[in-house]
Amino acid sequence: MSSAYLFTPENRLAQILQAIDGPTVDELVRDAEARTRLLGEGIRAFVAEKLDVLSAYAARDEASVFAECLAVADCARSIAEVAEAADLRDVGEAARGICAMVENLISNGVWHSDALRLHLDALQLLKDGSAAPESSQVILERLREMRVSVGVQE
Amino acid sequence: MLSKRLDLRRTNILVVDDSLPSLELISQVLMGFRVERTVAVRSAQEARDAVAGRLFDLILVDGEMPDGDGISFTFELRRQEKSPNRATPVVLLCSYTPREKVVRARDAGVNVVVKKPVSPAVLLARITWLARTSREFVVSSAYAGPDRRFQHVALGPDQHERRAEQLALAATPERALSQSDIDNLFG
Repeated sequence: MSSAYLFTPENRLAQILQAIDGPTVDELVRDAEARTRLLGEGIRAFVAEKLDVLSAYAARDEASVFAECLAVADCARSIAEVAEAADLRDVGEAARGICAMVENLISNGVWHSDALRLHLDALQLLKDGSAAPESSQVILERLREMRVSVGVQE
Repeated sequence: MLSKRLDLRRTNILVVDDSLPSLELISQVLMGFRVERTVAVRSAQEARDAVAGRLFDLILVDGEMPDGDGISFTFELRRQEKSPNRATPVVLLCSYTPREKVVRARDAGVNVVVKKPVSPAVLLARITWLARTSREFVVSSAYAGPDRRFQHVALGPDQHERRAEQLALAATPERALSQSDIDNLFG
């Protein structure tokens, strides 16, 4: 029979609550948001660079894209991790969809090159913001439905 | 009444992320929170070295890194009996958070999963929750980490706890035999 034991570790984080004259939660959030806004330009440049890498994959044949799907996922993930912080939420969501498909490939062995290609095409549409907000939402919803239909867990 | 003021200046936080823009983003959020003691590293191996030599109050770790993800890192950390950071709260940061990954993270001993990019309001809410909550730490052959049980659900009418008979006996001590009664049975 296996044994288990429990103990209560010291909660060192609790010290942050002892702040009689400290800043309020609202002030801390506001300051953090202001700091992240300053990174906007840099993040947009970074995302544009990564989107160029992804668009190059879109021009390649199916076998070569499949062979490099982990590199595609890494590139998409690096976009998804930061895009929304620079007001590029839709780009981030489409990139997140690519991560989901590659993770599904790794865990379930399911792969759909056409679905990936559609995501790559969608990213090109979404990146310049030329699509109307309603159209962007339709694009993202259709991509999500497609992923679900091919068995990707969201 | 819960305090709405927080002092994170002296909080020791380890941030682990292989992506430079993401690391910069998280670092700026923490600076906005007035955290003065942040250590930022860019790989799971650097994180292992960092937790071996210094005590942290909180660890923020990327869920997806090429040399080992945050889930594996946490799994290892929770099993290091001598590590000063064995029970340090771990927040897993992931760009993609399907249910399966969240369950895997919980079972590895992760305290909280937060979606990337990190929203300052969400991250601060999670940190505050961790500060207010003292969860027990469980160590068994199958699991090491914060107690995963959040609910105490009453058993149904047809369900019986395994210890039910012992508990019933303890509740009615007059029905229990004393040691001398037991000795007499064998005398």
